[in-house]
Formats: sequence, structure tokens, C-alpha cells
Amino acid sequence: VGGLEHAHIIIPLLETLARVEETVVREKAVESLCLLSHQFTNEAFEEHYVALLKRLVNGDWFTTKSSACGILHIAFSRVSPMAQTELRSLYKTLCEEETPMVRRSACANMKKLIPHMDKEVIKKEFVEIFKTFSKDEQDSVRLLAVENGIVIAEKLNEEENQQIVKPVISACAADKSWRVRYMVANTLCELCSALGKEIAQTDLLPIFVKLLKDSEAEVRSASSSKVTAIAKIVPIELTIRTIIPCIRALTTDESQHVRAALASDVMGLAPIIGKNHTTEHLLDLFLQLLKDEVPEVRLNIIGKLDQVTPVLGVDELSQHLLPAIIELAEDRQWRVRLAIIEYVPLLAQQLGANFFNDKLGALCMTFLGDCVYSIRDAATKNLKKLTQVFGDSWFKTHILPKVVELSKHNNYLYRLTTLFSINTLSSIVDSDIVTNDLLPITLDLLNDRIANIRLNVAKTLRLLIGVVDSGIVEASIKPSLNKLLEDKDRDVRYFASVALKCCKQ
Amino acid sequence: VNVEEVIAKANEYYESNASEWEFSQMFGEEDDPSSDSDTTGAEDNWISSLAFDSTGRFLAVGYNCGQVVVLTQQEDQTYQLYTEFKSHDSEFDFLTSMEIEEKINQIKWFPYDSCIPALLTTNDKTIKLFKMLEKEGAEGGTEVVVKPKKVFEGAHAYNINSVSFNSDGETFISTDDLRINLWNLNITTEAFGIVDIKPENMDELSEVITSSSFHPKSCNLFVYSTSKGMIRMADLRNSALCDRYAKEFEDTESDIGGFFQELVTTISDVKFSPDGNFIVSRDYLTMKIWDPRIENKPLRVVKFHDHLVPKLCDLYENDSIFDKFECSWNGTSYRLLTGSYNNNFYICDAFGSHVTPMCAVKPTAQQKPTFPHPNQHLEASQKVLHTAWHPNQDIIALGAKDFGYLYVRKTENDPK
Repeated sequence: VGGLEHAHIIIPLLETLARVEETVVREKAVESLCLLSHQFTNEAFEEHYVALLKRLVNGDWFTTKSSACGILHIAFSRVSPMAQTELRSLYKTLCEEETPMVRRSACANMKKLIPHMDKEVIKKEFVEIFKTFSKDEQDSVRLLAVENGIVIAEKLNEEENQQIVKPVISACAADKSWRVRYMVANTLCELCSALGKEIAQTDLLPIFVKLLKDSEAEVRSASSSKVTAIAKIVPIELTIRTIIPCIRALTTDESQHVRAALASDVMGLAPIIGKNHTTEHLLDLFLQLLKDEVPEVRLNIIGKLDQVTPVLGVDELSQHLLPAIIELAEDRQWRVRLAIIEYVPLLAQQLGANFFNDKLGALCMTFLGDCVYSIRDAATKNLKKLTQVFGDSWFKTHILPKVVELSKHNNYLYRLTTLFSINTLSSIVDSDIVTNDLLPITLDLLNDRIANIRLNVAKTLRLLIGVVDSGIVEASIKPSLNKLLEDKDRDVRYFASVALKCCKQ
Repeated sequence: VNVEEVIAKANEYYESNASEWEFSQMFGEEDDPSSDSDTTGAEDNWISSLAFDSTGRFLAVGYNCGQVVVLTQQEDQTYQLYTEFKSHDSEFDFLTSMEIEEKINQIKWFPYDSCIPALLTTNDKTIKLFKMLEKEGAEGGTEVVVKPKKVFEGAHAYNINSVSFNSDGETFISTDDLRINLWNLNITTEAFGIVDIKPENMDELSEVITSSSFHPKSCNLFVYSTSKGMIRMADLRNSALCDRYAKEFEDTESDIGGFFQELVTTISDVKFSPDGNFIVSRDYLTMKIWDPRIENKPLRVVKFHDHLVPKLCDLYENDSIFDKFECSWNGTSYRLLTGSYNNNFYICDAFGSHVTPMCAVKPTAQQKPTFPHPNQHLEASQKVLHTAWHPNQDIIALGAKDFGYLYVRKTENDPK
């Protein structure tokens, strides 16, 4: 637009946009104004910017006032102290606006303003506003006040927080509206770090315990997912004495969502409180959740096992886990079975080959024969991951015989699964194994009576071409494909020809 | 709230503001008289919803054909056309093989004054947010452009009967026969289900929700009414699911008994008074005013339909007993308006005993303003189902089939 001196021309345009009804447009205009602010000299900036803000604040409509709330914070860093005082008083009028939308915008933007203020100003002017917002009649304003508490607390010292911020947070934690209490539960960790260790232990911990027992399930859910984070901040004895009894009660909470939230977080306590305490206090809680009637809860526990195994050890854990895993692996809902398969590689890694072979190996092969396609598909991918974990010789000893068996199954779907397994495995196992073991299985199916099988043999052979020696290709694969070229099924012939083209390349 | 004080102040108001009304305007297009009354086009022009905005500057009129007409108040207090637009089109639901009507079931204006007025309109399945912008027209004058800004769809398996804005200016509820959803105006992809009265076994279904309304000032309270004559008040603060209502209001005393008892107790409209202190419910025969602190009986029962009691059998035969009449408070929360048959309407002193019966008809040179004749023949097809009262003036709007009427209160006779 012609350089620094002329940047002010854009302001009226952006001002118009900032007055627009659509929230998204207003926000973008405000963002552009922010970017523009750097283009000005200080005096020019103050002149234009502050005047713009005044116009927005004194406008007739709530939309312009809400806009003003969003851009006030940019001005602060750039203007003279006198102008700052003026802007603060503008902000104050916005906070006292009758229309909830403006107050909500003012409250939401307070946390952007606070970092620009020094402590004295905060104490003198903003604390009052903060307190008023926390008692606003509109729920939607009060729940925003919690986050402001965090920002203010970061600026004040512990003693001041004790006097100023803590009482407000305590009030919010006991608010009639569950949504406000939920906000406290959700931001409790940030509150702890902002208010300081002492307040965290003396005041926030009891609040946390209360929220774990809240009458509204949503609040209990939010608190349950913060158990580990809070336990990291407080001494172990306090955790054992105050938090764990609540967790005990939550494992039998009437809401499955609460139990599920708890299950996905509670395992993290193990490394914090150590082996002895875990065995004494937590193990039976884990086991209870592991037997929950709702699959999601059980799955959440299994998903976080990696946090507990280093603490408790594989043997102890495995004897408790195995029945639960097997039960989930046979669950009626296929999505539950799918989730178990997805954990199997992780479990394999943690539990080691021996444990796996004994107990889980058979299970994995059963998955290959599941009635649901997605499970069979996941099972083949699972085989690949397991082979990557345990290695080729393990594969040859334990899995290969079963794959051969599967290839001779009566049901064609399982013979098909064999081919899919070969597809995924061919890329990771040693080419020797491919040539000596996997290829023969594939070729055995060449004359299968089902066309779909023969079709997939062609597809598999195509993949194997890239893996085996060219000699083998010539000796075994090509002749087989040529045979398929004369198959009575059109699709078989087609895929055979596609594969043959790869031979030539 | 001291009820005695309210009644005393109300009576003072009635003394100095006599309930005398005169015809002001009539608007609407008559259906084509030559068209067969059985064809679907015959009722297209019937009014299905009326709403004044929070300032009274605008009056929105919704029609069976999905059209919305917005009138604006002139300097002489009359209303002229401001703009009109097609709000909803009819759709075909492939899953149920049923047509979704374009009929506008309810219109509500955004509760705060804005340079760009906004309103919610709803048909049976979809709620839409419209905004009206004034732009410079082609010839230099101003033209009004109405834009659909948000569409809230896919959240109602049953037919929507009401929408209501929250005083926070950010959320609203939509209500169908069995569920109430809470929406954020900016988010069309999600809604929270906050009330669900669907029974596990649909064979046991015996009660449906008929209407709902947020408190005008308290962001956490709303009421809903049911076909069993129950009014339930729920508090959003208590819990995420408001199935466990905070209060339940039921009038067990004013029963007429008999075969039609159940049918006449269904509540067709329920709303808070503008000052938020009372609740009114409209059932087939009465309007009841409730003190929110007293759940087992209404504060007052306003009767104006006693003459229908002996005719309930006929009204049942021609299905009129299922008509849903709306009611409206005046701006001071002292009077109530509701419609009836024969194009009659009633303006009642909520805390007094006076009821002014009127008839919505355009006065001609010879005819004096008509009042309902006590023994007149019941013309059930002529009904005033929809009503609206200006938020701070004594101007009322009535919808009777394809015609809308505006009446104003006569003020020259008020004692000074």
C-alpha cells in the first residue's frame, strides 16, 4: 500500500470487517489488524489504533463491542502508559455490558490481556473484574473465568494467590453449574502449576478429591482422566491416602464413561508409586477394571499395560491378564476383537516370545479364521508385525506350519486368508523363506477349484516376483502363470496376464 | 417474588389500561377460491407461525408453504412489508418414504438487538438461522437481503414443534415429540441431547412433548409441556442430562372428567412471562398461570372455553379437539392473548378476572366491531391458532388461516 506511512488506509477497511456479523470474519479482520500493527510508528499507531478501539467500544451493536474485546490486547504493548489507562477503562466498560455476548467475549479475552499487565495493575484493577466474572449470572461467562484464574495466578506470588485466586477457584469448584466444575476439573493440572506446590497440596488436592466424587458423571470423567497428572505433583503418601480410595469407588461408578476414562489413565499411577504400593493398592483395581462388563473399559486398561509391566513384571501381570485378553479376543463385537489384535504386537514385545507362544500364538491363528473380514485382514497384518518383533526363525517354527494348515482348509475364505498373509509377509521375511516355504504354498493353490483363489494366486505370484531370484521366476512362477492364462475364468486370465507383464520388466 | 404485590400492581395496571381493542390492519392473500379444497395447494397460504422480534420493529409470519414474510413497523405504528423469503422446501425422506413438509412450525428472533437481525425458523426436521441485511439496491434505494447462515439438520427423528433461544445469545434448544436438543448457534454439526422421554419399548409410548421454552433471563432454566398436561422445568446446571427434571407442575383439580378429559389436558403451548416470574400453559379449554414455586396447582386458571364443553363430542368428530392454540403474554407480564374458533380471540387479565372476547374480522362501514355471540354456531374451521404480542406496545397479531390481523389497544379512553 505504499509503505509505512500509508498503512493506515487499510484500517478503515479492516474496521468495517471487524464490525461484520459473522464471527469468523471478525476474527480474521482482527488477526489482520494485529499483523498490521507492526507496520506503524508508535505515535501513528496510537492515534489510529486507539481511535479505532474507541469507535468499536462506543458503537451501537454488540458485535462491534465483542470485536473490541478481541483486539484490545494488541494495543497494550505498543502504546503510552496514558493510553494504556484509557484502554483499560474501555475494557472495564465492556466487562460491565448488559448483553451476555459482550461479557463473554471480554471474559474470554482477559487471559490475552493479563500477560501485558504488570502485577500492580493486575491487583488494582483486574482482580476485581476477575472476581465479578466468576460470579456472573451467565454460566457461559463463569466457566471462562477459570482459565483467567490460571493466567492471573502465574503473575502473582504464592501468598497473593492464596488470598486472591484460590478462593475464586474454590468457589468455581463448588459452582451450581456442572459445566463450571467441569472446567476446574479439566484445567486442574494447569491450576496446580500456576498456583504453586503448596496451594496445590493443601487446597487443590481436596478439590480434586471432591470432583472425583461429583454428582455429575461428566465432571467425574474429566477428573478421572487427570489422576496420573495430579499424582505427579503430590507426595506419594498423599496420593495413597486421598486419591486411591476415590479411585476404588470409581471402578464401580455407575457411568461406563467414567470407568472408561479412569481405565485409560489410572495405569500411569504404577510407575509413580512404585512396585510395592502398586501391588498392595492398585493391582486389584486394575483387575476389577479388566473384568468390567463394558469392553471399552477393559480395552483401555490393556492399552496402557506398557506403563505397568516395567513396574510389576511380566509374570505376575501375565497370569492375571491372560484370561481377560482371551475373553476380549472372543468378544461378540468384532470391533472389540479388532482392538485386541491391534494390541497383540505390543503385548508380544512386552511379554516376550515364550509367553506369547504358549498362550497367544493359538489365538492369533484363530483370528486368521475369524468370520469377519476386517479381523482376518488385521490378523494378517498382525502376523507381519509379530514376525518383525520375533524374527524369521520364530516365524518358521511357530507360524509357518499353521499357515500351511490353513491353506488346506475346507472353507475357501481361509485359503484366501493364507494368500493375503503371504502377501504381507513376503515383504519382510527372508527371501529364502519366501522361495522355499511361501512360494510352494502359493503354487499348491494353483489348481484350487475356486476361481477367486486362483485369481489371488496370480496376484500373490505377482508380488513374489519382486522378491525371489529371477531363476526361480523363470523356473516356477512363469510356467504357473502361463497355465493360468488358459484358465476358464476370465478374471483369472486377466490377473495372470498382469502378473506376466511384471515378469518381463 | 411476592405474589400479592404482583396481583396488586397488576390490578392497578388494569384500572389504568382498559382492555379495549380496535382493528388496525389485515394482511394476507386469499386462497384461490376456485381451487378444490382437497388439493394440496389450498392451504399453502395459511399462516403457521407469528413472531415479533425483541424490539417490536419486525413481525415475522411463517406459512404452510414454507414462505416467511417479514413486516416492519412504520411511524404510524402500522406494519408494512419489509422482505419475504422461502425458508424451507419440502423434502422426501427416503428412509420412511414420507414427505417432509415445508410448513414453518415456529419462528423465533435472536433475543438481542443487532444491526443485522437474525431469526430461527423450523419445519418438522430442520432448523435454519437467517440474517437480514440491508444493502444498497440497484437504483440507489435500500434493499433487504435475507441469507440462510446456518442449517441445523439431522438431529430429530420426530417432528419438531418448538425452538427457543437461550438468554446467553449463544445456544438454543429444539424440541420434537420425544427429545430436546441443545445447540450452539455456531456449530451445526453437533447437538447435545438433554431430554429424552422415549421409552425402551415404543409400545409403551403414552406421552409426547408438545412445547418448550427457555427462561427469558436465566440461562439455565427451561420448561417443556407434554400431552398428559404436565409441565416440567429443568435446570441445565444440575446435570448433563435433564431427564430428571427439577420441577413438575400438574393441575389435578380442574378436571372436567369424562371421555374427553385426557384429550383436553394436552398442553399446546407453554412459556415463561417476559419478567421470568411466571409460567403460562395453554390447554384446550383454559390457560393456567403457574407460580414456579408451587407445583401442585396453578396460581390461576383462566377460563374462556366453557361454552365448548357441551360440544366436545362434535369437536372430537371433526378432529378439532386436537387443535393446538398458542398463547402470548404482553410486555408487562399482566395480560394474555389466545385464539379460539369463529375467528374469536381472548385477551385476559392474567391476575384479574376480566376476559375480553373479540373477533378477528375486517370491519366494514356498516358493521360495528363484533364480539362473539354467546350462542353463535360453532364454526370450527375458522380458528385463530397463532398469536403474538408486541414486546412493549399493545399491538397484537393474530393468524387465522390465510389472513393475519393486527389489533391495537384503544388508548384515548384511559383515565389520565
